[in-house]
Amino acid sequence: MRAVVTGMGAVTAYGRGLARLWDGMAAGEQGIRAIERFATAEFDVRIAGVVPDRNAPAWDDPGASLCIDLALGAAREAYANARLGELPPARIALVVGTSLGDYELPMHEVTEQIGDALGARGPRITVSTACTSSTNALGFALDLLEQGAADAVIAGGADVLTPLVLAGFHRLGVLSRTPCAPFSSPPGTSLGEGAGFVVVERRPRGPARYAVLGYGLSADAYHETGPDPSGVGVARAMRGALAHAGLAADAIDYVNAHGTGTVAGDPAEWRALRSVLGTRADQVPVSSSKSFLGHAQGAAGVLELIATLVALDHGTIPPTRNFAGARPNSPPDPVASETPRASTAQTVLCNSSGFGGANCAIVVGSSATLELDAPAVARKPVYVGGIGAVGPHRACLALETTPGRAATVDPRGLDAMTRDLTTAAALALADAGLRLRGAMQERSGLVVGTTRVSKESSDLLRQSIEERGLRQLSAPMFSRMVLNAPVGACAKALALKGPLSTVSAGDVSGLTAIALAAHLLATRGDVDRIVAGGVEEDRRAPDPRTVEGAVATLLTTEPGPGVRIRLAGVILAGPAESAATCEVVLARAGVAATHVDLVVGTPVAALSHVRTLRPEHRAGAAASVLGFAMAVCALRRGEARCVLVSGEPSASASCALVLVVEPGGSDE
Amino acid sequence: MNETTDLAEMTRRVAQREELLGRLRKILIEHLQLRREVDELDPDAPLFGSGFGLDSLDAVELVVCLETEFGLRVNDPTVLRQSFRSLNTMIDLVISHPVPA
Repeated sequence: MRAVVTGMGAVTAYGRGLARLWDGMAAGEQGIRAIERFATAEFDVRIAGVVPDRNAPAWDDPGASLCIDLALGAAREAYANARLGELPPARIALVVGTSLGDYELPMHEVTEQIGDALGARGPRITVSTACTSSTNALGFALDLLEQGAADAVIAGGADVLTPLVLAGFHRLGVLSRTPCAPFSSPPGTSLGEGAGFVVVERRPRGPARYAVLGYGLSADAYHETGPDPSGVGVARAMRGALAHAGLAADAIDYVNAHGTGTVAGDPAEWRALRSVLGTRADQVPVSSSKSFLGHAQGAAGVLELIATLVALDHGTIPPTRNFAGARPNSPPDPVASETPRASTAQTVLCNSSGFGGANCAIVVGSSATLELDAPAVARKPVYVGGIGAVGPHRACLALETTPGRAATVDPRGLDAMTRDLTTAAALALADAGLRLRGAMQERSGLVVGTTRVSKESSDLLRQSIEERGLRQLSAPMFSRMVLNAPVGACAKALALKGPLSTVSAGDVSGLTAIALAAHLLATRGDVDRIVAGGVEEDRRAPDPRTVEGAVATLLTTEPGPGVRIRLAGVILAGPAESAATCEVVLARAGVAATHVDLVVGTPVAALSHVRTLRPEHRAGAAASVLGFAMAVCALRRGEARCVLVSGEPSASASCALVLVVEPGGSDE
Repeated sequence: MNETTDLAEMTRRVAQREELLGRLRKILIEHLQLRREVDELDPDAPLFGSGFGLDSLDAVELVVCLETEFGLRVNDPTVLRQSFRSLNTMIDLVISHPVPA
């Protein structure tokens, strides 16, 4: 699936707007400067790529409002450039990638506020995969278009530099005292902030020079914060992106690298590039925009992609600044310069990697070569292979497998969220009779819905700051302040090395994860099975209807023995669309309403005569997955043949899907 | 030096090591969330990898704990690598770096 870029917007260390981004780059300005917004005296590093002309947020406002402000600046520019006012708001989706889950406001509410202010009333999905968040958000935008969930998607990300973020990276010892010099010396990165959004559509309504051609996701399954030094995880994401784009590696004529400048990151990424591009890796220019924008965290990927497209628009590619001689294991042509270099590059690979071992690569190119009427890729059928659950609501499922088997996944001090998610995922794999060995691991993914970081880890981080000061905060707890930390740890524990992502959509988060995972399985060639689910540890204002713990399912393109349950249709729609979604999802599944013999979740008016199971506990990210698992149990027990699972709509999105028993299983 | 003072000195050293072992074990359990009983933490077992399973993030945390709990500032990566092998090597480090007054 390819999509044209019809609009872009950016707020960067250079200031507001695309024009400012180009002017800064062309003039060779250094965006990484002294931090003025908050006190930095206690740190050895006091520079970052901070958005200029911003008022100081008080310490008790860790930045949620500033994040929304930056995001709206960029998203409104993209919206205007794409003339989205021409489209009905319900057909405009929003995907926001953001990294830091430490605001008082849950991330999905940040996204909902941005969507309300913009007038995007389609699905509003939050992607939080640390420093790959916005790249991953743009990838999912392609999937939403392909699913027909929207006619246009505003996708990108926003992140703010807070004192906590500076303190955390400072503690990890990965910051450079001078503006970072990727692939060169001294090693170390520079932090940054900003927001960038891109509007993508299936067909242009006006001139559109560029297209997003494909993307790839993978998990390192190696370490909480550090990259796998072999680079094989990064390479998997790059190969996935090329395959999704239908391109050979030879097509790439410029690489905008993640290039943080750290001792661990740069060589791992270069090894990945060498293995993907082969001997051509020595000729292809590879540069890092972090050398002038800083590392804008979750917003970095989309900002670097926008910087690349803005540079291509002027017949150039972005440079790597501050270059003073190559470090070992770095690209021979890093575009070492203070200003952009003239280039005829057309097809570009942009790469991002983040905490939790998340990798995402994306391929962009000229829209001139795009075949807009290319036949759709044949969709593979997706089956439910297994389910697993941990927590007080597990009893709803009357499962035969017991949590005891998976309890040994906790040799170290994982927080409750990570333990629950890992155990539920292990149970789902065991329920499907799967043991992941060798190459199977690379074709096995993990997509999880959640809404908050672990309260347990968050409290321990606060405690370490209260006792020892911000400078001496606990590094292990800081590494868990990204929403995808439990998901990365689960992927590592279970060796799930395929597509990895973490999404948030309020109470429908878990079902949204299932919907996105099902689409990946149906359309991609690089994955055979995905564990999808939801996890919720404790919500700060506990809702007695919250499903605590984790519920997971194993989705697969290869049905196993036993009752064969097929995921016949899925729909993701805007928050107000839940009534209409059921008709659409049945049509997609090719199922007549009269065949539905069970509804699980929100009652459906058109199916009021059908038996309806509405779980009493229906709040939280895991709730909708519990409903899904209850439907699977009913189908297995022969109590139903065709179930409509209708998630509780949230202010983010609504989601429904259809499960049917298919002939071919052992019950026939 | 007679046998009595020798014995007294040894007893003092053993007591000091015991005391440091207790404090370090407490750090592993309370700050690094190692889910083990105190006496399960063998003073000669490797801290990282196959032993207690600590990783590089925990190493960063241990450096902070040395500073906040023992007033020790160690910046030399070689010294740190050698000292972070086991609880006993950490005790050696603390004993050989008297806390500055």
